[in-house]
Amino acid sequence: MARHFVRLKLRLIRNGLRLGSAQVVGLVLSLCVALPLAGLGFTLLAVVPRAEPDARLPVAVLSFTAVFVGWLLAPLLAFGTDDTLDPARLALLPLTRRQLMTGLLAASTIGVVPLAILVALSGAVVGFSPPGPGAVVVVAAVVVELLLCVTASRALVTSLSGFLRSRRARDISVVVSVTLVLVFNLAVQVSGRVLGAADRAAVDQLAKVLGWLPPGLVARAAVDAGDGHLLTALGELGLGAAAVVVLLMVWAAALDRLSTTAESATTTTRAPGLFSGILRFLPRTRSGAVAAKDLRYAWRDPRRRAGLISVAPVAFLPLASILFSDGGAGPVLVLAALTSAGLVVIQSLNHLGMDGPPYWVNVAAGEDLRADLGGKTLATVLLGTPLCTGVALMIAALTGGWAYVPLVVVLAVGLLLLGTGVSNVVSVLAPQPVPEGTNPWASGNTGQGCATGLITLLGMGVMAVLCVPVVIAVVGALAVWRPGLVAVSLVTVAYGYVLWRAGLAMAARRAEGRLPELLEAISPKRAG
Amino acid sequence: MSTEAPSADGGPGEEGGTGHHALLLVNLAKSFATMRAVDGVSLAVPHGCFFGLVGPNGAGKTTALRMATGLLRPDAGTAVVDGIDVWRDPRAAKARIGVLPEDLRLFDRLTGTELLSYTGLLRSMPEVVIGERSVELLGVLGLSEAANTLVVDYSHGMRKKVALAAALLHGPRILFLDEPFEAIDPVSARAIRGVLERYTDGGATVIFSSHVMELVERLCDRVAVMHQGRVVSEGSLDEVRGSRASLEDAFVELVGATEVDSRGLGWLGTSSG
Repeated sequence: MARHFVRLKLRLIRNGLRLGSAQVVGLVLSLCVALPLAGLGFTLLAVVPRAEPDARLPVAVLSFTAVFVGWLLAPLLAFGTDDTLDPARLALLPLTRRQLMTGLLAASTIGVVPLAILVALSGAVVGFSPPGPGAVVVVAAVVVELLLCVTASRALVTSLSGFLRSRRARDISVVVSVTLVLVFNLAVQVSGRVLGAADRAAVDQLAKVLGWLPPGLVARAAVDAGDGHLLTALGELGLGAAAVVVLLMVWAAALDRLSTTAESATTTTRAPGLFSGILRFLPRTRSGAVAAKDLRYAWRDPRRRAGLISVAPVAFLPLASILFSDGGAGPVLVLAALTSAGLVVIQSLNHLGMDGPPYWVNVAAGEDLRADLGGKTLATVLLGTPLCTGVALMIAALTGGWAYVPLVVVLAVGLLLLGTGVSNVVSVLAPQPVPEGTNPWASGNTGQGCATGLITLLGMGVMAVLCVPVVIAVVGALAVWRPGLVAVSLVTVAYGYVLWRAGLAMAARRAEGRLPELLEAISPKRAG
Repeated sequence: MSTEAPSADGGPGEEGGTGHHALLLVNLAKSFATMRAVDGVSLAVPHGCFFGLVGPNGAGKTTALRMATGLLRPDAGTAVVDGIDVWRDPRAAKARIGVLPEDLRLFDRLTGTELLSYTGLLRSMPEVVIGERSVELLGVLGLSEAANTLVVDYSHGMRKKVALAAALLHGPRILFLDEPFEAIDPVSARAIRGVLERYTDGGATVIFSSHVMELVERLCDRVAVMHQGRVVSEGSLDEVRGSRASLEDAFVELVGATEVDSRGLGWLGTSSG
């Protein structure tokens, strides 16, 4: 049975590559990342114990624990990318639980990442093995560590899979994964500084504590075997193996539960009305309805919410630079809040494509592209302006540049109009279908990823060029006569409005009467 | 058989006569890549009629309906709704029709009520009217309790019903329904049927496609059978049925399906494990 699963997994990887060059590139990229990391891990575990005997224990314990935690979390973030290993899919096959478990275990050791980790861990065999029977214990420790990783991750995924399948959980996981990527980036930057400062004693202390958890115990077994304490090593290994058995039991119980319970349904009740709450002031017209829908979608649609969240770190970059600088930041820095306006606009570059197939409702109601684009502009301005204002207020609180806040508000409106003018044209001239599904990183198999990226870049370039006069005027006013900024910001609104009207006219001329074709263009081609 | 259908070569006299029909299709054609999905379809549907469009999977029903409702541009031919050419004056034509598509792609992160407000405002209806009709439609279709639930959390039947409510909201004279009863539980089907019967009693026209022959037989006055992109038979229920016992027999015969050969497959149902 294990053989069947392994062959299934290999076949899936091979068939995946046949889908197109994107998958091949993906595999090559992941090999390029994984193999050097594997080499690094191997070297660390193979060389450090011999070269620096004092560091043996912390290196072993910390690396075994890191591998364990990483293996545990990875499938949670990428859940849904490998449906074949989703036990619910296999529930109808006449497999015994034992067959299912051995098969799934074997299959989850196949792949680039498990291979890389096996390579890295086998460094321990080189680094710790003493001559004699102790070497067997070290090899066993590596195997037990691998088993720990695989069973723990399977048990966790299976226990959570009912939850992960629900709509709400998938929505949340999109946001969580985006947030984690952002946090990870931050952590990498911060940890460099922290590790540089941390003293050895703290690391030793941490290793001591982690040494009592199963992966740590297994690591200690390898270290003790290397030192010749065979009995201690065997004891520690036994505890690690016992943990594997416990995890297998947890997993078995979770599998039973999964095959006998149905998915839970989620229902979300919202305040009644498209225009309830803060959207009460919107006009009750076609444009108003489109704006209200887009604003509600900004938070309710996980893809757009993820986009909005990814704006946050850039929006707060000015804040961070103030906090890390030595207090030399001037009040002018408030103007940096405008970068978040740019980010909101960039996300609107394909705003018709973001609507996708449901846009048929607008087409069936009779074409009125101007009203639809007007509503989308309204939504972008209403989303971007408060965002900019909020960031500006925060920077002002730190720098005292309150006088610049009203200027930011006015400039934001002008720049958002300018940007939407461009995105109205781009989304009509080059509409891109957005693949369905909730994974914001998935570009699908449409081979569209590259084209979409180029069009986005082109749109951003046009926006940047159109912004040049504004930047020159602002910088000039700052250098020559600061009150002139008031005039500059007002003129920017007029400038943005003119460009927006021009963009709308261009888009309408191009697409008036061609909405059915536009609808085809934004509908992803369905497989099969 | 198809006395009311316009002759394929002549077509209708420009304006004369088209006003008598809720829907008039003349030589409508559409190809995708190498496949001719709709191959010269001509149809005439009188006002106040409950019209069934039947055919096997891939017969071109959905494509024909999409072209008739202004969602997919035909390669050739004309579609006239209530006397208005759909592709010459789409706005006026679309004001008269309501559409329930097969695949039900909706803005499903809105609640039922919100989706109806959105649809109504797209058609420039007054907000008060939208509110009143929404409450009434959701009530009749049994969706009152789910009115403030996101459509993404609706069941399939509920999605069909809310889409039907959206199609009826502006009181269209002609309603196009693509597979309204597919994958629908009997309770929802009955609710939908009730609304549709009341709708046609008021003199409006329903044109729907379906696989369910019993339903077509029960509901429709007139039927057209499509096969491989063409209309192979059209007329009143009796005309299409002819001497055959049921519409299903007529359908199977027209479409040319072969009886299942009972000699093979002898192993079916013999598995011990």
